[in-house]
Amino acid sequence: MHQIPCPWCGVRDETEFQYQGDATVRRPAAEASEEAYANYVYFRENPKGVHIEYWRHTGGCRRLLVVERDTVSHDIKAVRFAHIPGGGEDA
Amino acid sequence: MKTTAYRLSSGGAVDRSRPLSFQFDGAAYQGFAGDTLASALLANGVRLFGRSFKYHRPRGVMALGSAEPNALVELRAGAQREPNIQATMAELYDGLVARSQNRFPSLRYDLMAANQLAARFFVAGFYYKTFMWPSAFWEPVYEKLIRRAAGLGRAADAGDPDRYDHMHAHPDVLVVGGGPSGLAAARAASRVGARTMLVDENPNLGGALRFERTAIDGAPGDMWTDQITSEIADCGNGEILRRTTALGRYDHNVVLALERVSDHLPTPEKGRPRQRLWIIRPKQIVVASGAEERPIAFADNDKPGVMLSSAVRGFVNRYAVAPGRRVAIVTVNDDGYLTARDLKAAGVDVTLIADARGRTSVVSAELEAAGAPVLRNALPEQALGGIEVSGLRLQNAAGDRLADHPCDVIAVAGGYNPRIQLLSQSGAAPVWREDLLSFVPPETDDATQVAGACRGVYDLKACIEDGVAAGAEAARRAGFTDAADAPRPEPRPVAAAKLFEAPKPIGRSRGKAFVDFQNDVTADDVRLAVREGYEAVEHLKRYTTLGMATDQGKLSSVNGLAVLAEARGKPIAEVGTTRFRPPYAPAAIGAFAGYERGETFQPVRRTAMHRSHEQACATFVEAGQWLRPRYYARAGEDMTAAIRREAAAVRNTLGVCDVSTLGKIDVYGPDAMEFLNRLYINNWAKLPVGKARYGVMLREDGHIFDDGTTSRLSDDHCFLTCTTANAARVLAHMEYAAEVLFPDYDVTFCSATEQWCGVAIAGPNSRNALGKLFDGFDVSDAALPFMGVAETELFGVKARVFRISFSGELAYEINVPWGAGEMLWRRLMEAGAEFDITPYGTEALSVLRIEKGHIAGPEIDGRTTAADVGLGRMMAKKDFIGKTLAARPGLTAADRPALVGVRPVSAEDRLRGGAHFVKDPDRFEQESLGWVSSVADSPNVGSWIGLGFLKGGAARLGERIYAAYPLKAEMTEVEICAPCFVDPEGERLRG
Amino acid sequence: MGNNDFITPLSHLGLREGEGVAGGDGLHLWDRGRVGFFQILARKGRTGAVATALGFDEAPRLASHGVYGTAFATTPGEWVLVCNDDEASETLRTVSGALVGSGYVSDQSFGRAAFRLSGVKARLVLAKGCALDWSPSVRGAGACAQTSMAGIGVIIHQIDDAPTYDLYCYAGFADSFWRWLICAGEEFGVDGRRLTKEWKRD
Repeated sequence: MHQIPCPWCGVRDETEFQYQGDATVRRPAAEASEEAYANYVYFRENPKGVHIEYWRHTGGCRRLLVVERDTVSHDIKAVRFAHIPGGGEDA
Repeated sequence: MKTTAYRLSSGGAVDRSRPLSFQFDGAAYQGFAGDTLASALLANGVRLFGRSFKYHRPRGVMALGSAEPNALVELRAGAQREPNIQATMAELYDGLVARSQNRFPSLRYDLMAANQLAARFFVAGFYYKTFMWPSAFWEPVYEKLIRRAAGLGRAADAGDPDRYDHMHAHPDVLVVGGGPSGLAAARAASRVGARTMLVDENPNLGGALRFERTAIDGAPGDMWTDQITSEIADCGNGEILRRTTALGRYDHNVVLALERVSDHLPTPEKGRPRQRLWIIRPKQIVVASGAEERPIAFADNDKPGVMLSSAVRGFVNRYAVAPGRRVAIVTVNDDGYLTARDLKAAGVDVTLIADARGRTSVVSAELEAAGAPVLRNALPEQALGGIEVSGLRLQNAAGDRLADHPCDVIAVAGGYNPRIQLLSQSGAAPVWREDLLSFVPPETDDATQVAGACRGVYDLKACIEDGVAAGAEAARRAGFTDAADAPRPEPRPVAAAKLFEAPKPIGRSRGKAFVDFQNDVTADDVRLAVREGYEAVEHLKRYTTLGMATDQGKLSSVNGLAVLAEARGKPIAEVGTTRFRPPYAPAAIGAFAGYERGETFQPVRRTAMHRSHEQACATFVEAGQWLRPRYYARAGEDMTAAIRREAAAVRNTLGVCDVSTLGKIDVYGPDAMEFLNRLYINNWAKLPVGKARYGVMLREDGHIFDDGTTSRLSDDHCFLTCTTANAARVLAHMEYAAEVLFPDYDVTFCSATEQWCGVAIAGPNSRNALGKLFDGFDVSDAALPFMGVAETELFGVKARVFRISFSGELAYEINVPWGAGEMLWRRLMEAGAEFDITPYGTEALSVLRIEKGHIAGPEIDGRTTAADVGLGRMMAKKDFIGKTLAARPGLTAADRPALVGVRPVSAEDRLRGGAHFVKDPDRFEQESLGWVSSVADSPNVGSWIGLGFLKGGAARLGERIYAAYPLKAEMTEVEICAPCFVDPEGERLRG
Repeated sequence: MGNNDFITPLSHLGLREGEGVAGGDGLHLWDRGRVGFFQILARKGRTGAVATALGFDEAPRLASHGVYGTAFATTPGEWVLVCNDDEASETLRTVSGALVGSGYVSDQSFGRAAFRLSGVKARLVLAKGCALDWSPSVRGAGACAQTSMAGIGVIIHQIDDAPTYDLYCYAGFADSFWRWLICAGEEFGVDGRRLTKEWKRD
């Protein structure tokens, strides 16, 4: 049971969150190719170690968080809001 | 009443003034307050407790506490019957009823023990090897056979009437284990102000002290325990949970612990739970779970009467019970001598101490000098006897047989295993220490301390010091910096012989030497597995079931690994251990379910008009968490008749349907419409205030995500609806779009689903009814045209009226605040009475929308595109989510199945959702041309009708093909038609 | 408002505003009936302006009390504002006016149920379903949190050290949440069949 430090609500149990996938992908521009969109939608790294991912705090503030999590130890290295670029570091 | 022939006349912690009556296998016995079921039965001379899992071998008590692998019983009767309860953990109460398990017809004469005769077939991997072929035999024959022959107790036949609680806790320091180390740790942490929680699985604290005659500072162990316990309880920061087992330690140091609140009582007190599952999120953990004595593998070492040395000593010291009259002790260390000493003091006859060691130790020399019958260099070979032990066959280290020794108890001291299960569960590998002849916990993390015997510190004084230091360290790390820094004592090497399995001299007939009693795994099974290639420890576990189930390596692990290591010619350290799994001790499923049963199983959402529906005799259906009326059957009506009546009423006059469950979202801001342009395929920019429009959202992969209407209430406020099922997902999708994809829009939004409740009124008389409902509100087509929206007041509350239609009839949706829901329903029923207003449920709603070809969940199943459902032309020339990938070749191919209508050629035939379109009526195995997604028995068309997806779609109108439904062996000839069966011109809608 | 034709989320149980159930040790659980409940949404970049206009704190986890009622900062740029039912209409009007240009208000007064749980055992009742630490050393009077309990999204606000908690959930979940709370309180003597009328509006 992961304990995720939400920058707004404090430490909360993972059951309050929805995992939303890789936080490093960026939606291509409207005029980008199908291939660019296919990469955006379908293709993901599956790293052993630190993974930067989205978790939405649906059971709390509802904000989307960027969580740096080690996929081996499950240690959470950092958490910030997704809507503030670089902002709201750690709780 | 049988005599309690084995109860000692003095000593122990049982209360002889409080006799308790109980039953085992129908016979009546008496024990005392303070007994466990195991000690009470032993006191009555009962030694046979059950039959083993696989071979049905007779088994008795082996251990003292939650490591007991054999003495598993069914406890209580009727709905409260619970199987596989360890008799060593079951506290005796007056009237307790227990039954032995896994025997037929009786415990002493178990016919299934014939499994032993076939034992060569029951070797490792038996199930994999034996029940392979023919596969048709698996369910009817093999499975029944196995179920009969194997398995343990029986679950109760009726629902559990008791309550299981959950409780969250957040101590600064959690201490697991209430022995000397744990108590010392808890005191050290709580006295500096740390909120400290101590859990211990026994009814009394003290850990191993409870079973020993040891004094601390001149006082009996129990007095020391009581002193420390009251200091912890009185300091204001300490909480002690007895009868509470830490079951598992999970990521981020979350611990689950099970408190057996009422298991020691005949029935729970009023309102009290039987058990409570604690979900503990401590800042720091101190694991002081102690160590478990391990058995030695030798022939027939599972016979009732073979017990752990510490258990024999504990039964004598704590419960004043002699497990036998003539006790032989087999030992690899000094522990056997401690047992001999305590038994002698209690007047129990110790007839032999067989020491595997050749050398003397201080303790052994003392006892030998006092006259103890010590035999050095003596190893066990076999337990002798019929059902129970009657003797011990000995050998020396070279395998030469020594004289048989008559006895009725064999006390085995094989060394100690730290209880590392909790520490191993989260993945770190334990470390083998050759000087301790055991695994010790792995390196722990910043939030975990290990103290005492659990890390191989066995000396009592050192255990207490270790506890003090660990407790203080944990408190300091939790932020209580006053805690003093103290040195941690190091484990001292054990003076023991290295003996896990007794030598097996070649050529002698021998019985089975068990390494795992719970799962009936022998040393030979381990060797066989290695020969067959299952060398890796995790493979071995799965092939032989070694260390599985409730044992989780408590007694079996090290001996099994030692046999494996020897068979592979490697040191134990190299073969490693399996990861132990939670729960540490057996736990009832009810404890995990907690409140999630009965009335509190899952939350349900009721609409504001729920009571009105109940009064109208609605039958409800669960739609997500919502309860929605499915249909309203009148007297004498079945479901089909009710649905037909409701659907017809809408087309003929007037129906009313609760649509409160639709997701509703208020969207605000100057960029609201531009934001919606990115979310929907259609163009919103020109939607005027006071108008609504239907919209479709795609996922980024180009498939339809959801649909609904959006109404523009002002320049910077619109109100959108989405499907009931997708309401939460749509909100999250919008949030993602606003937070990440299009962060520059000045837009904000929130759910308004519960603020507003709503009804749809539909049918030719809906305008008339609306006019009667609202006083002075212009309901004319000019004032409120199709897709028009009006904000008004209804009996003093704000109301919104939308002229939108899902049924294809002249229809309106009326929203009022939640609290006015019942009032709205009542007034509508009054206003509509003269038009025979008819409440309709989700079934009729579905009939009506299928008649009109309106898509719903079955058509938006995540695999279809806007073009597939005929809405491709809605896609505007702008950027929107899903636009690029909706245009990819796979989603635009001409042969994609597209939405069509379908009706049976023969009007009496029925259609079924899920049927496949095929060409050839004579066989089910053929190419699918598409599928039927939704069907309805339409009173307005007069036959079954359906929607479906067919390759070629609209180009095949009028074709006759077949709908195949192999599950019911149906092949129905159908005609493909346009996906609209009623009023294709839409005249009713705009009337 | 105050129309008798209006239902509250628990009126189907025969429960009127201010009625509840009691257990031992002064444990009480009430339905507060309807309250004014508003979601305040700041426009992009206008969070500070809204906070100033309405006298709200921007920081989370502590309620702020102002002229309009009690506000909880539920997420960046958003607040929930709670006031008494009889002040709700006026509050909506004045708050809407104060927010012109800087934010929006969504009236949710009918969409929520408001319960109050009080007594020394209230903390334990809460602990049966709420994963948060409500120990006095961690959260005291004034603390608020959005979390989920018994599978239901709730806002919890500790109003005093009795302790007393105000609990808000969606109206549609009120029946389930109420039943869950009674079930959780049974260990402490709460009997769901016995109603009391001890709570007086403060």
